[in-house]
Amino acid sequence: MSMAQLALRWILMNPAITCTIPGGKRAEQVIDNVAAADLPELPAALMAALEQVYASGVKASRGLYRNRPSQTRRETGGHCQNRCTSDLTPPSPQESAQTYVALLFGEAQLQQALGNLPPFDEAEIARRSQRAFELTCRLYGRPAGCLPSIKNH
Amino acid sequence: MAWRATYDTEAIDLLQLHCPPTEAFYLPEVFDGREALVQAGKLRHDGVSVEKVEEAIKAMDFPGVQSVQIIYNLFRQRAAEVFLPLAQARQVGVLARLPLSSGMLTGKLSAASTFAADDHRHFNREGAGFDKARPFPACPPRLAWPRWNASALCCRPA
Repeated sequence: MSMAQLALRWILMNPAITCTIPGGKRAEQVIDNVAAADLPELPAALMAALEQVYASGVKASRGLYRNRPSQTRRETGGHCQNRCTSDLTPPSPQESAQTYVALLFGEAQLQQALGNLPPFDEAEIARRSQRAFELTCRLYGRPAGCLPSIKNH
Repeated sequence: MAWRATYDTEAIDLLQLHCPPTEAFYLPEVFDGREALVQAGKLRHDGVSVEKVEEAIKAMDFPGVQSVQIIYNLFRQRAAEVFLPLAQARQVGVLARLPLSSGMLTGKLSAASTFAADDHRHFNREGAGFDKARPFPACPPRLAWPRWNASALCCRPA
């Protein structure tokens, strides 16, 4: 399971979600993304670990945004009727990238949880990849088999 | 109509108004006008893309809004707090936008990653151009026809 597939499968774990719409620049990215829909449910331990990453890393820092007086608030003389999302100003590019990367790669807990994923059997992976391939060809209006099959997914 | 040539279909399965300004969610005529398309059989499902949770909740007040597209990913979970349970209860479809947080969740970017000058992650990295509320926006507040892409296939298994 790729990192992108993990992120996509996580979204589909929420029963309210109908569909998610990743973009892809290359065919293999599209194939990888589409295959995520066929992956089994994420284990509860992994979901809990991901929740911990969000709660302690993202939400605790208000989604990586700092509190600042918003333009809206300034314009209205300090009043904000809604939840004032415009109060949240992005961190600097470097700051946000470093924080994101730390969240992704620095969380031992997450990595450990990833390591606990049950291994997929090779035949199953090949089957899912092939299905994703066929869907991709259909999507682009090309004949089945328009792309070479995947040797090493 | 024009889309017949573009999409080679008699009816569009899903049409989502793309991130209209917040004021639009308080103008019933914005959504009412589209019901005529549904009744004429040109549009099978109507919907709207939103920037804010508040807009998503407001949009569901309009009976014609059968689907809402909103940012939802591992880094952006606010939609799950109030909106998603409401949408599920009302049987409104939800499309999760920016599922990979503009690439941040692919595991392929690092703090040293750079982007081309015409990439929104470069020119709008801090939200100065549009949508101040996120570092990697991909959805300028304008009205646009939806574009089909491969992502449509990445849906919940039946």
